[in-house]
Amino acid sequence: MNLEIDKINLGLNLNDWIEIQGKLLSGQISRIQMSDLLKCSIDLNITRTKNIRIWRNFAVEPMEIAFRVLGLYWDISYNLKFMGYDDSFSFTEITTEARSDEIEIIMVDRSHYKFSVEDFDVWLQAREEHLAEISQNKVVTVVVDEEITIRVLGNEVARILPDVSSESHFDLRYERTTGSRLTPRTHFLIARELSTTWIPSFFIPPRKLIAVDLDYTLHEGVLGELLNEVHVNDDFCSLQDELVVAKNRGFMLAIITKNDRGDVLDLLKNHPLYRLRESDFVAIEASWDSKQNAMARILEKTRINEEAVLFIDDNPIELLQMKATYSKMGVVSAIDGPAVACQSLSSVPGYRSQSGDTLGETRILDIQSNEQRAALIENGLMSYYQTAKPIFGVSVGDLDELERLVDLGKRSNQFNLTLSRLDEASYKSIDSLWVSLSLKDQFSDSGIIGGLVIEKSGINLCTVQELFLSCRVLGRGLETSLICQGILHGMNVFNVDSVVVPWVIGPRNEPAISWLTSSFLNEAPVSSGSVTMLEGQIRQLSEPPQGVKVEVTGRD
Amino acid sequence: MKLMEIGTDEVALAEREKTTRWSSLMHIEVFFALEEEFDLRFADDEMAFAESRNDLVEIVLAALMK
Repeated sequence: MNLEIDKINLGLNLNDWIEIQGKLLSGQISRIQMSDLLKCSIDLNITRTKNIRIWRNFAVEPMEIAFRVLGLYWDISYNLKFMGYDDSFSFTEITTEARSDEIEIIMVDRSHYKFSVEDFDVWLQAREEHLAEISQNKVVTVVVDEEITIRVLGNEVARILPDVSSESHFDLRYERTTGSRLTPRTHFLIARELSTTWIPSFFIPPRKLIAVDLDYTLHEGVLGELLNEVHVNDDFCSLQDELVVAKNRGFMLAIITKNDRGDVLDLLKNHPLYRLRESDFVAIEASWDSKQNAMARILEKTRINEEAVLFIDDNPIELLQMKATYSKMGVVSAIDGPAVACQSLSSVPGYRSQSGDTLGETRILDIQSNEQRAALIENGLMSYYQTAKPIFGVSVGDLDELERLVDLGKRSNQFNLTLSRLDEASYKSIDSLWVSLSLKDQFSDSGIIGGLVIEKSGINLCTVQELFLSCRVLGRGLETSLICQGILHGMNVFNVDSVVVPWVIGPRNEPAISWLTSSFLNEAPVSSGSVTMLEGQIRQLSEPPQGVKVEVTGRD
Repeated sequence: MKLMEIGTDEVALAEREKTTRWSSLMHIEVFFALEEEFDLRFADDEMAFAESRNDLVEIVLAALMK
């Protein structure tokens, strides 16, 4: 990639794309500048295009320009279709036309109604459910009242507060001319929330790790031998606090810095104002090696894809080189300071919209234990089995584990055989059962790390509808026996002799396809398909290695 | 005029009634942009009654002179 010339998002070269980030995401770009950016994007080949239908009872068109520009910044092209004004939200304009309107947005100004708060909520929920049913699309709602709230699939997810400099979202001067009492700034804030966070939450893979620089990113000054050369003012504290919150939501944290490792560990242990400590990080890459190489080591250690990573740095060259090396990685610029970086971070698709991994601590401990496992595995897998004594857990139809399984199935990208992304209702359907897979050893309890959904599909046949595994447990030689234990117990519940195992070849699930090939197939598939396995074959493959135990709970 | 993509030779003659791209929503986009560019606040009747490029120039100049 020629960093100076090649055009990426918004028709900018990579250098300009990084430079504009802070100003654009904080709304410091003028409408004329945004209009110019839109014109530069016309001929670009955008990889993601989303059709959105907007139902409303007030003028919302003024937010279109920011909506589209912010989407294009993150390589998402939004086609917005504004429906007629309708206080009843009866959605009579829905037809059976072929247009694929993928996402529905309801924008409602509550001041048009005399409902009580409770009655309004009930009415709105009924409208949302009705729209979801007749459109078969996902629904996002923006409620304009004294506060502005955003609802996704009927659940409140965010409130938009006025900027510190403003007293209100409203300026009644505009109502006469625009039909909307919202200020231009409020239009921008709503557009930013929707286009960078809540709409992408439906199709952007979850972010899992934040890799952050140190000098002038997490603190002011250059780390040397003396800790008092490093200053942490309120803005740097705020960014660190944000990372602590992210960690508590399930993100992994890593440091990538060109510093001596000893100095970094000393900083994390002893600086009185630092919010973050060594134990908060799954990886600390402190060396004089290139940051891209350091990132490669982090990706290897955590077994996650570059798309799941956000990288924060104040140095434009480092940002440029990282983005040029890992084009799908999210980069967040701290060039304009930690406060701007914090704002930009909150506007990266896949950051705030994650519900949080309730087992994030488990995952972090698991990854930290991987070094000890790797040391044993270097001497052979038997060495690992005999020392670490792994135990499989196979649980059939446990309701307490269902929510976790559904969440894991939606998050798993690399080791996901069917990419079905089933919802809870599908797991519970009458001919299906779910099997959760867990793993622990003497180093850590990894908890639930995979799952299956199996459906009775014939007199003596069942079909795997969903199959996924967390990548952090790969490399221990246990995947085949663990998965086949799950399939076997599912077959036993249905009392069948055969199972159909389908697969879908997706953009990121090469690890799953590779496992399938080595375990069930004679050669690598070139397209999606399925294979039928017999009970005897599955039983044979389900035998755990010597030294590994299996614990089964639930129906059987 | 830039927002409406009106060519430089057409700018002086631009009138709301006769310019297709000068819709009601484009009208408010223009005022949002003018308020932003010149750090001004227009009264709602000023926004409502501007009908031509000359009206816009007069409104902006008057606001700047205050």
